[in-house]
Amino acid sequence: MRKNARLTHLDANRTPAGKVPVEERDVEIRQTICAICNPFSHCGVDAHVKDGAIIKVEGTKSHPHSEGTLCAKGAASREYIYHKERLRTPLLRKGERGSDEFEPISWDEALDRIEDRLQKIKRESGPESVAFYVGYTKWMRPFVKRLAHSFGSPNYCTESSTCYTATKVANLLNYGYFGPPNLAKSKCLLVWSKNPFYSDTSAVRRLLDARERGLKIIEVGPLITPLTAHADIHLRIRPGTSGALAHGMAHVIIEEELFDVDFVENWTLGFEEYRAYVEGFSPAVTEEITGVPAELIEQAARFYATTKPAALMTSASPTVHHTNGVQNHRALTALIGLTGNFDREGGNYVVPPGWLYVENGLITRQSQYEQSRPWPEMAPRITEQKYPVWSRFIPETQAMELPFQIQNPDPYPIRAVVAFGMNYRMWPGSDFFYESMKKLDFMVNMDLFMTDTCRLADIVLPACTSFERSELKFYTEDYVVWTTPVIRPLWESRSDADIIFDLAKRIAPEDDLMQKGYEANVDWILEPTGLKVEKLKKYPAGYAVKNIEKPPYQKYEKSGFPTPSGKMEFASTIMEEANYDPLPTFQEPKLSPRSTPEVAKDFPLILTTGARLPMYIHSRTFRLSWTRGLRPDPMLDINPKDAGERGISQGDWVALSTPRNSIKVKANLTEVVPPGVINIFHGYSEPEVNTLFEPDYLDPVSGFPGFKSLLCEVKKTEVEKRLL
Amino acid sequence: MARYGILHDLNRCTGCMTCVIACKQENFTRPGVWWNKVLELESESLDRIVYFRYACMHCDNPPCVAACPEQAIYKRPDGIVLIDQEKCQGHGECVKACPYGVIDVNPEQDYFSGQNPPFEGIAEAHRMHPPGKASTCTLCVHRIEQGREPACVEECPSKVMVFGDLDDPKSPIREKLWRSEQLLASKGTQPKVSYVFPQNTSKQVEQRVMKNPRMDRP
Repeated sequence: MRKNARLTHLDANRTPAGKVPVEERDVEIRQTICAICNPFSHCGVDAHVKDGAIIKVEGTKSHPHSEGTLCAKGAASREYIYHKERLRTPLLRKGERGSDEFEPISWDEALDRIEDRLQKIKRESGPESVAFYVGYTKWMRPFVKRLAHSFGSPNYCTESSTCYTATKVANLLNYGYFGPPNLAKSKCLLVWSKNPFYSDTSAVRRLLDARERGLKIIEVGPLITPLTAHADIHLRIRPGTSGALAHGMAHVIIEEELFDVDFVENWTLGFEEYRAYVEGFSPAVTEEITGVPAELIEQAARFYATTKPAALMTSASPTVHHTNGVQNHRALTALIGLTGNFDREGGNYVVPPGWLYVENGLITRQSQYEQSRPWPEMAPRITEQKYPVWSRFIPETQAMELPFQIQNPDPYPIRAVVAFGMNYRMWPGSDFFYESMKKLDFMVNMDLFMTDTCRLADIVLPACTSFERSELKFYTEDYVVWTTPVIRPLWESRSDADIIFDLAKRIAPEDDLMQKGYEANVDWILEPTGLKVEKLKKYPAGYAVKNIEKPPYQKYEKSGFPTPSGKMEFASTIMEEANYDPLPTFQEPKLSPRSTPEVAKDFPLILTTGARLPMYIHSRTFRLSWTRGLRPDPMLDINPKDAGERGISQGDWVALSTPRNSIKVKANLTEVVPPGVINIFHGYSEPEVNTLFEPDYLDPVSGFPGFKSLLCEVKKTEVEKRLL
Repeated sequence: MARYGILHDLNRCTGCMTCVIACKQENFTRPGVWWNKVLELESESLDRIVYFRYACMHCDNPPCVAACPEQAIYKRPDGIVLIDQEKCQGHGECVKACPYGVIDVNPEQDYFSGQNPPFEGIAEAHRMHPPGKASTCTLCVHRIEQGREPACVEECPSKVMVFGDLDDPKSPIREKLWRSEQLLASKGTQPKVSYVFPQNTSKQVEQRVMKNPRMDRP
């Protein structure tokens, strides 16, 4: 074919008039969504389909969220969908766990085998010894949770054991409910360690437009991001010190009487203790802890407290990926109430949960649906005692405990894992989890690709992409989509929903609702909205819901806060009951130059991991040559000053070491990181970044790993041959 | 006759690389050939990163045209500069002549090796890139001829780029044109791609392009 390639049609002078290019014939444009990244983004996609194959994807112009745009990941969808490493059939393990020896089996055989093994384990040691897990994507979560509980297991866990839920816990401790920034009406945006440009790409033009309209921006975070150019003030904290900075700002706001006296007097609990505590965080002290100049702290505090309305934008992880995460996050969200910006127009506005983390005012029955069996009718979750506060708010099992609980009789062993899109490299001390999973009696993993986690499974099931399935999706722009597959599932792959409901027939036959199938279940969930799948099918590009009743502002004035005291709690009743500090006290990270100076002698640099790169979301687009071509090698970011002191030049191979392990990567010299800080992207199979962390390097309240503050050292090294 | 160009407001560019990949899937260029490039430039004193998206400048006075011994490069009446893949013999003179470093010679290597994804075999000519031939951005002329904008412009999530007819007073590209600058204007190439640079950064961008126009840092 290539031999005959010509570009002649590009020459207008030589192309016969009226010639229709081959490609344009018989192309049908079908709408769906891209689901590579997180549920807030999911852009509308026009799939150009010819002869049953997708030949191109473009953004759907009429889609109110993405308005025709995509990101680097979504634009690479074709490589994702048609990747040669896609799983094609169900597979049965023949060799040892972790080996590559599998043989194809039929769907019936795979599902029968899963049923036999799970029922046997259930008879022997109870349904609770089977853990269910969902990684990425997140769309099938409610169905898997219901399946787990209908089977009888309380141990349903997700990737959200390291993402988002710790911030949710912190917010609920303070306020009982919470809301995102009301950007359209805000005059000042305090962005606390978030890079929306790479994590919510399809919505950033709105932020840029707001900036051009005069929105003031304060950015907090150690790294320089695309936002920094737009920030009026940038507070470059030492990783892990968000809590101290927040207290420093509160100190200024209280001392200068810039806080909302009326709100604080009428609607808060524990203000006097809080005031006394932050008294200790003068700008000078805060500078010493955080590294941010005292003057800037004062400026930012005054700016945020006096530019009304002001909104706080946080991310799902950076503030809570610390061993002091929940308290950090409580400290910084306390500033919202302190300045009277909670549930106000242009502040942080509370909208009730809708469907799969997207809040647009539509109320569904998601949480009732998921909890098919009440907690008291099942064994206690394995992490209820260890993480009582997290478990109170998050109806899941904390997955970070899985490595410790596999075959551990106290209180009962986890013997089997049924996983959807699991990546064991997400765990701190990932090598420890890997070894621990080898001890499982039975494991199933569903994925698009043959991953190293799949190699640990007894049975591997091939899932399909969002282009090959139907799913329900909400958007904050009062928009709902029930997608239609734009192509048939490739090879023998199946939608996760089909797999889940087939499993339900076998392992949860008493769940009558699940026996009715996927669409009937979605209808049940949607019941309060008046929407039905049949109706939504008529709008494959999405349905604009009219007259959604938006909740009013300042709802607490009518009904109080949904906290034990009915008020915003500077001092948390729930934390006190569970024997944690009721105030959002600041603790140094477990390993830091201040908390462990003896360790810092050998490991003087601070390691922060997991900040986004624009072409990757975790490891999901690593294997695509288009995106991988933009950054082929794992690299750590090091400030030129630190590199100079160590004789390291751009592109040198270096050893990145922590007290636990050492990995080899290339050095990228950049001012993006401040001196003293090393930043590295995560998820690579080689080198494995999370082996640098101890498996129990966790926040005591949430169980979240301290991925964003550890001690390390970097040294120039010769690369081993196998890495070249 | 139209005279097509692109204007960038680099104040809005976030380095998200969407244009780079959107171009890849629109045009199927070979590995290592990036018609769209985004460079990241650091400026510590300003506490910011400048992201610089660029591609073929479709110069009104293109040095590549004169440099080609086979007369394979030509400028269309609408100003779009194209390489005739039949005439091109891969001498590489154009690569040397281009001050912007936006022409590459196609390597032998191909994407999708070892697999046969649907469609690649029957793809349209503009998506074929014979090895050994010079290759550069066509301004998505195949889209322009259908009344559409180049893929990079359409897919950009931050709306950095404006495409239009530079000679049409009603074209939206004219709104910011008076504020924009050309890259390496001193070379006399008269590019039809222009930039609104963040404050005091145009010289820095020019120096980087002259020194190393590649996206990956060594």
